Amino acid sequence: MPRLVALSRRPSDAAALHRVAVALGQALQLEVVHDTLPEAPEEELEAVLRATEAPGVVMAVLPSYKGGASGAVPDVLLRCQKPLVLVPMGAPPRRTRGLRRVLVPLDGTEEAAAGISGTLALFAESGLDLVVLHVFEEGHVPRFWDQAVHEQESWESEFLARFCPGPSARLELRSGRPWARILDVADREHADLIALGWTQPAAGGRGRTVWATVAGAHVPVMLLPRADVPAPDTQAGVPAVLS
Amino acid sequence: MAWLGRTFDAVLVDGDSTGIPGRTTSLLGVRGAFERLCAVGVDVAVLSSRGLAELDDRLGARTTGPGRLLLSTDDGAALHEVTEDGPQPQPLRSEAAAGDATERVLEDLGARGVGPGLVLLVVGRSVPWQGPHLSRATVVSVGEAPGLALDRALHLGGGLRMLRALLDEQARRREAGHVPEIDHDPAWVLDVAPDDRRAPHALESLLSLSDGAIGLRGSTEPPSPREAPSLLVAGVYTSAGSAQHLLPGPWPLRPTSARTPATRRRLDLRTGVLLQESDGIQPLRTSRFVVAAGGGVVALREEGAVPQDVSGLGQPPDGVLEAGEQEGEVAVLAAGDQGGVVAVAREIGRHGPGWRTRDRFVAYAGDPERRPESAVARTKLASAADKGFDLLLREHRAAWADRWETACVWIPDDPRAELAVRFALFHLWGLTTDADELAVGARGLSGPGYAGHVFWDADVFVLPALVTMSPRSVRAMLTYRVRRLPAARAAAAERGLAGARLPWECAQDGTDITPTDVRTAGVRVPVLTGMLAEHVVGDVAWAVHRYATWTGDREFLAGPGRPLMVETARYWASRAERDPDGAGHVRIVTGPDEYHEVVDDDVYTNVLARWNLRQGAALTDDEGERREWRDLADALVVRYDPVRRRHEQFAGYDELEPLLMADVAPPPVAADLVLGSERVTASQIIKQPDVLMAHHVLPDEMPPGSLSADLDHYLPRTAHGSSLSPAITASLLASAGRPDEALNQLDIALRLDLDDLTGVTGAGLHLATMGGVWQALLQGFVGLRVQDGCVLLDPRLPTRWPVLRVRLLCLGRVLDVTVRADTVDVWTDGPLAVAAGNRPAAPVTGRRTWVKSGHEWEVMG
Repeated sequence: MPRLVALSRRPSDAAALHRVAVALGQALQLEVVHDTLPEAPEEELEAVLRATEAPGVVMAVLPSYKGGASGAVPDVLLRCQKPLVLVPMGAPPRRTRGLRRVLVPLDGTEEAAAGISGTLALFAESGLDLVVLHVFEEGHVPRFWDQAVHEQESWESEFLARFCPGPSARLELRSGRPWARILDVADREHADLIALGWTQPAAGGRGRTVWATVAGAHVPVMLLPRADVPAPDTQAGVPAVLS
Repeated sequence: MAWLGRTFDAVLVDGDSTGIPGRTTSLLGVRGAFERLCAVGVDVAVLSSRGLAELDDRLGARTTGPGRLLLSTDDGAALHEVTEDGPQPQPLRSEAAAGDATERVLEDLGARGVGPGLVLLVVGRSVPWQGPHLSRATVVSVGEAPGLALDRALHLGGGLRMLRALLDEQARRREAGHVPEIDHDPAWVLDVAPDDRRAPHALESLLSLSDGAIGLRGSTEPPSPREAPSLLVAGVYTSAGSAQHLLPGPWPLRPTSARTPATRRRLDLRTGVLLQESDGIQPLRTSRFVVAAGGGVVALREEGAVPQDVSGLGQPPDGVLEAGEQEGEVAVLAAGDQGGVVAVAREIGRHGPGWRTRDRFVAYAGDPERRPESAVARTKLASAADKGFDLLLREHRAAWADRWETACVWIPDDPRAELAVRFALFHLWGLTTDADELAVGARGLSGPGYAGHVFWDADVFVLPALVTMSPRSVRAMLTYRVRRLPAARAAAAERGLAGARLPWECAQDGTDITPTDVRTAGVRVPVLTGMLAEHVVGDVAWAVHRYATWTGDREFLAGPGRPLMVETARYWASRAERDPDGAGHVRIVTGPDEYHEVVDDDVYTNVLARWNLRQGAALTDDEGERREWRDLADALVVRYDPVRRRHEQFAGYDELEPLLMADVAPPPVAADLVLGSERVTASQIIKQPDVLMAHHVLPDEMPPGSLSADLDHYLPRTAHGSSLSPAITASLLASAGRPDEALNQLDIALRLDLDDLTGVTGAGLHLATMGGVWQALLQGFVGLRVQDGCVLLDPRLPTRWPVLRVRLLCLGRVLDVTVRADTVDVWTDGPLAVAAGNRPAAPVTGRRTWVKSGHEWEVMG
């Protein structure tokens, strides 16, 4: 059975990490194992890479990183080739209901959608409620928006058909800075997890979005790296918000 | 024997070089082969330099069809069709083909939808033919020696014996029921390659087929279990209120998921046929069409890995199997709240050594108010199936050829634009119907988007285009409005007003079903168009007048259309307010620019209302009303500054934040999504033409010289965030003498669906944009208007187009106009008064030319 490794930095992390790891393990049918990270921060990168490259390990859960929207992206996010779930620490989890609803920000590129499709399918099979979020960002908004009600209905339907075709999901649309809207909607929708597909190395706006989301989230953030997909052309009429 | 490996729809034989007329020896059964080919539906033409009597005597063939036997004699000077009663003369279709035997026959075939790519030309020796259409024909030589002028000809040799063998092979192939070819003419074929990156749903919309009664989306063949073709039936809605939507019709053909879906798909716009091919272990080739003017019949043919022992008929998951299923036939019902749609299907399989084919026919009947009678569909099905796929296709091609003879476009120096305009016309043709009532939804029958609801798109964007193609269908569109007048009267009365208040958005019964709110950013916000976008009242009246003006059908204006004209005027009379000083206002409305939802004295609305009042006054029987309406029309405020020669879009517009699109984002863009609705409302950014829309719809109501000033002022402020915007802007720019800028806007409109610029083409095609495209060509670039029974032309071509030719219906005539920089050639099929520029009208019957002299057009001869 594929394994998920929960990596705690200190003993006080263990309970929160365990809770998230177990919920994810059930949803994704993964065996949960535990390990600890070295105390020295400079050794953490290698430890995470070592743990995630161990045989059978497909994902790691570890404490999140502090920082801000302008901060540097930790090396571990840039170098780890396996999905990481970053659990915010320092404050008690706001909810203890387990894993019921996942917020999935999609930027309207096949690249991001392909990176996350398999995981979404597993979530959906597990009965989780999937909320897809797309953010209209300045410079990447639709060219046309006819009658508001019908256009939105058609747009949402077509967006899901293209970028989230398998599982049943609900789409939320917002305008503004992507990371801020992701955090807003995660809060409003009571998401238990944010699942972000991204391409490494994270450059420019996408890197900032990912890191700002990680840094500001009150719920675990799953990062699904997709290094092997070349960046495609932006779909006509569909903005690449996170690019 | 299968030398050629494909089936042709026409065989042309060079009689002289193959030795048909000259020899005294036996024709070796060629005569019988000709008759057999005609009997299975293949057209045959024999070309000769000899006289008719000699050729006919030598050949001695007589045919009863359905294929035609043509004799081209005297070096192309004469063309006859041979029937049971002997040769019958055929008309010369164009002067260009006079004296060219091959071109004349190809034109004759083309007029029946058989393009040169479907033609096999058999010659016997070197020939000098170089006709423009011949390049796509397949040429073989049965002469004794190679060395043809047409060096791409396949040399078979063998003389008459080989000719007969070729003819027999074609007859056998036709009898075997192979999937027929389309003419792969890049000027007419929308080609979807295996690596096409457009969204699958968008392709389904682009490749949809419709006959005005049903619309079948272009799903891949064979469909997967999750992707059965979506089919909609005109006018059959279900659910209530704003949730009302077109009822999806059942698809009673069982999907077969085991095979590879089509990888190459080609839509032949000339004949309305969708050809799909899949390679791989189990290759499959399919052809389908919605029978033109068939009233709801689909014909399909499959060839390849077709299972012969498994019926392809089946009950769809959402359909109810009707009683009375027969072997080889099934009837399925999809029930709505009140009405429903019934589909009856039949299949006929054939197989032989190395091939298998299956023909399937599906006929539909819908009833919006009660369960439909399957007998209606069964009658249509029987008629179609009895004819068979090949004969149906033959009639279908001919029907499409007739359509393109009625309305068409040629832009020889811009093939991409030419194909895109033809694509737009193709889908507009798909709206045409023989029914007496036609509800044209925003996406027609091409997809579920906008739920089949009818907007002003139909009246102001689609109708002016369709009136040049199928006036009968336009009359059906207006009949839809006329029959829903009771609901419009009731809507006015509910507001304490008189007359008829046409709905912003409607479906089955004409009540306004505009949604009242939308969930935006997680919050419900009100939608005001249903309450305030009252310009639709005048839009419908304008549509009636447009139909009458462009067709000359004044009887409709004085008869069935009159209540629409009068009661809409009556509505405006009760809706407008008068100031103590007498000034008239229409307050609290939404104009076409929906970024400003609550405004007073919107220019488009007031200009339309003013015009509507005057038109109504001319038609009402009440003298008091007549006076009142004319007085109000004169008093209605239209905000115009004669010094700057421009309009103010509504009261207070000029005081809004003076944002330009250069400050926001490059258009087209949904500026409300960029700026937010509050900011955009507080600014001068507009969604689409509003003042300019008044120039487009009612140019004579606008002050002379104001178009240029209004363009200069409003275009920098226009986001073009509506799909309705680019085509109309193109038309206006061309009218204003800015054709190169116009073409830039037209390009956007042309690519809107083809490149899925909206991201929602998957939900259906933007038919209003397509109507706008045709309007832009006619009104903008050709400068075509109709006034007092006279056609006015004032062309302005962009640099990219040295030549533009359009054909259309106008005032009951087919009108063909070819525009060049310095000439305008006009051809009509009957007497028509035509004027170019400011010159007086000249009568035209046949062909007439105007030549530019300075800034004026001078008629020749």
